[in-house]
Amino acid sequence: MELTILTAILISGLATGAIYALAAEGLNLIWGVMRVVNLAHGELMMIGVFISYALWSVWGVNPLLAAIPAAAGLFVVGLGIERLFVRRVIGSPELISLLLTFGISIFITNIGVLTLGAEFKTIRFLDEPVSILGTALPLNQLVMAAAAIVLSLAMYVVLQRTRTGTAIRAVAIDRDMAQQVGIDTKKIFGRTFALGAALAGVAGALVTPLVAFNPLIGQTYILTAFAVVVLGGMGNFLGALIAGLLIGVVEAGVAYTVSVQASSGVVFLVIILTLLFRPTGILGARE
Amino acid sequence: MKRTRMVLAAVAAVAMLAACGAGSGSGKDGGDPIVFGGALPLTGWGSDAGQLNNRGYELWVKHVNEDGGILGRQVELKIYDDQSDPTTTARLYERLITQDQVDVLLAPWSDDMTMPATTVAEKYKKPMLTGGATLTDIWSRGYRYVSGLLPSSYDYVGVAVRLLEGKVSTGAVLNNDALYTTGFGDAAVENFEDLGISLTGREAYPGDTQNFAPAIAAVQGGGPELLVGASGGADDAIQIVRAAKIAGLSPQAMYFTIAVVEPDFVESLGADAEYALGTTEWEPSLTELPGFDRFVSDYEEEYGEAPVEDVATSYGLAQVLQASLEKAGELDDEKINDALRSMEMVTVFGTYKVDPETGMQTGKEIYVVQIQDGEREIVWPESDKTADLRFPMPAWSDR
Amino acid sequence: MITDLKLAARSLGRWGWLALGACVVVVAAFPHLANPYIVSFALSIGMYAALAGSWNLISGYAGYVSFGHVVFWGIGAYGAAVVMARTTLPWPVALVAGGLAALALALVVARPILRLSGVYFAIATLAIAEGMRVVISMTPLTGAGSGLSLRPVLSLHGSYYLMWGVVLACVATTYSLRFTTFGRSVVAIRENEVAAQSLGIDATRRKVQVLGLSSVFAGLAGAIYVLNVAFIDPGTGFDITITLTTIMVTMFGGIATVLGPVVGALAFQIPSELLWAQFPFVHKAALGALIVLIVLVLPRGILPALARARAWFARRRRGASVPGASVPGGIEGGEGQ
Repeated sequence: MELTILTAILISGLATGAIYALAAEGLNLIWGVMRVVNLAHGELMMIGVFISYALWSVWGVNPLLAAIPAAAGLFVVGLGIERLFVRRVIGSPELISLLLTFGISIFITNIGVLTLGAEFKTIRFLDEPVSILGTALPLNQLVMAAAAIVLSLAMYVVLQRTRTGTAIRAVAIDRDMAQQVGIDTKKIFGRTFALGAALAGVAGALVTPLVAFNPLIGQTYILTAFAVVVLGGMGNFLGALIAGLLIGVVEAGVAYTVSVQASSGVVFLVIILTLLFRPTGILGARE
Repeated sequence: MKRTRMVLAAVAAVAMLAACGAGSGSGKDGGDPIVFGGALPLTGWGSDAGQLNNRGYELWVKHVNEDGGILGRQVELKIYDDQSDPTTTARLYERLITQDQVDVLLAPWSDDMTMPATTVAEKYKKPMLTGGATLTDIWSRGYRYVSGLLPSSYDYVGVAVRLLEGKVSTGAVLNNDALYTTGFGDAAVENFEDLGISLTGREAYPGDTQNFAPAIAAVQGGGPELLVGASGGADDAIQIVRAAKIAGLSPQAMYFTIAVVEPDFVESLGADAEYALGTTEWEPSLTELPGFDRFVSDYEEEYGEAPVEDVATSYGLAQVLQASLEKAGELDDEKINDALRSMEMVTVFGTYKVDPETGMQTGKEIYVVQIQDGEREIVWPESDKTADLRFPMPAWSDR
Repeated sequence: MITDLKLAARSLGRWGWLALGACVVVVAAFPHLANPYIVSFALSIGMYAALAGSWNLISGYAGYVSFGHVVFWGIGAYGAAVVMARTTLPWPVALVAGGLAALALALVVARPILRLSGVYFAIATLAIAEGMRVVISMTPLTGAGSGLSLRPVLSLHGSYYLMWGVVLACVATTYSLRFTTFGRSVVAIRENEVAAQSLGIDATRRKVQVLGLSSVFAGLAGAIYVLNVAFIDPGTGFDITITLTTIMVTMFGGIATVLGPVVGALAFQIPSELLWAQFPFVHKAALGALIVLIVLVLPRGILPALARARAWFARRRRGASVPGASVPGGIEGGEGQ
């Protein structure tokens, strides 16, 4: 294979993969800690996209900066959703949460279309070409990917080193035990969901200059997010990062060598193959 | 258990009674308005065109009623949103015909939505004049009740390609994988064959593609002199241009279907939109068309901008339907259909003339446009052009 | 098997058969009394009743909750569409082809995915549905991304009768489950698969059979749909909204109940229909809100809720505390009705 194609696959694959990873980490967190499958995760990302877009169109705020209000906004939204709805299904079979969050996702998507319209929008930010090893790539893709990786690692550090992070991990490992040692599990659940939502919001803000978007964009990312979580191992944060990057590269690989249409099937293939042959994910789930 | 069964039977009985009660609509007498009904993609991937088409219909209704209506009766509009989903379109037309019992059918938009809608119309023997649809298959199924306002995609794409005959010898095609854009892609390939332009690459991309770099890479290798993007709207064309610029793909000419006439194309791309070619069947510079002034000035007054092709398409379509009603003299589907198949006329949209056997449009003019200095200029045919073709397009690095 | 079925038939009793007969008469007479649009609406109710009944078998009774059920419907529709569009065979062949196509898919994927459980199984089915959509949209035989258009072959009435015929078959099958070893094994598997296996039940074989059975009903529903509407494309054929509506309908009516699918279809689709044409996006947003509501308030569905209410009233009338008749039902519980 030509070096330029290989470089394109690797770099653009890692770049898109970094975003996938960030988008999925919130889902992973919520699933691992609360055993809740958040099908509305794509819509949370969509809200982040539109916050970023609004800030760009009105005040010219660049998407990197917009990620901060996006995170804050989604944190609050996440708290709200958890308190009003998700809290009631914690402890129920995962399927119930799947259905509940599906309903929420449909609701948000359609309210989005009703209020924001369904036309596609684009913004231009840093779209000059950068040449790497003979391949030209858009600068914004690289910048956003770097930001995504930095944020993912920062999140990882938060989970490992801070008190809240440790409490979250404790609840994920053994809910009852965590309660017994004095951790307020209710508060942790709220924080976890809010944190997961915030991660989705940031992913949305970062993705804004890279694609054409409308309120339905959440539906494009949700299956990919699932693939990342499944491949990385449910609850395994680093696993999600690696899985996201891997999926990005494989998708790019198929798009460049086979066809663009075939690459949209990669995600489903990943899910099926992982579930069939290594259901705990490549790094193993944290059960 | 048996009580539940009885509850079920009762529910069914109630439903049945409700259904009979809600039965067929009342007959229409002479004083009632004539209802024109249709389904458009007011939301979804077709919403840009859908909204514009809707405006065209609304403006026409306003004008027709101002002029005294048709056959002495006022006109009413009934438009549903099919959300750019062909299955919904089919169901909505069933509803329009059987439940709402509209008098005249208005066209949906895009081949995807038009194909199933025409099947429904044919099933109920209700004449339909298609609007934003160009796939030859629509009129080659032997349907008797379907006629077309637009010429086939072969010509729609062909006029642009033919303009470049002798100027380019290689070409590549990218197409959105929807039905109508695949049709455009096929038409491009056919035209290439007929004109001796060799096809260096063709790639289809799903409608929700986020990253166009692989698609560009797939066609870049052959060094195509002409890049045809059978795009469905401005958004994918915009991304193709950007990806081409990043990748350094500089063909001598770029042609996009549909996108170039959308204001978003120039707004979002700015200087990168220069030299892009497109085809259209209507332009605001065609001031000689009948009813032009009123159409343009009233539209501008209402919406604050000049009308575009999609608006004129639906307005013209409604005018043709109006004429067919007047020729038929009454609301009789057979007579209206015969009129549609045999009439010839010129509307604010242009010439209307169909093949009486198939219903396919034969008389419509098509124009090739190019973005020059941020404006859309007609560069072909000679008789209507507002500027000369700028060829070749300079390389990205030289712009 | 035959003795089991005879037992099932006899268990209906005189009133049961009478009620059944009355329903059949109502359903049969309906098209002759209502206008075409209402009949087409009744057809779509029937389709969801069939889909819900089909989903109920694998998800409610077997306990393997499928989130990709539309794939069987879609493959059924495509199977029939390909026969009609690419050959000159008559429509009954297409109908059977649809059912067989769905069955074939089920048998191919059954063993691998039925090894998974719970939400992993659900996600796997979702992935299969998505994957089929991509595959179909790349295959020229099935019309690729644009889909297939057919000449309409089935009249509205014809489709209506066929569809409700499928519903009847599905309901009858579901009802008979309890009387057959097959059915009892399936429920046993849902309750405790390991224990069932230790009792000598070949769980894998039974699960595959249930999935196959379930897929046939869904496939036939899809085939009838396409023969009536005369158009199918990958977006419609594998639309997740169809799966979700199926699940909602079944939940609404009562999972793992015999009549739940039909009751749910009626109760869910009627208000839905009243809204969808006039307010398409409000309608969808309302659907989302309704799903949330149902999940939080009525997770087991109308029929079990009614039964619970009935039991509650009965307890009150009797005055003394009768050991609570908490009606088993739903995914976690035992067989309903």
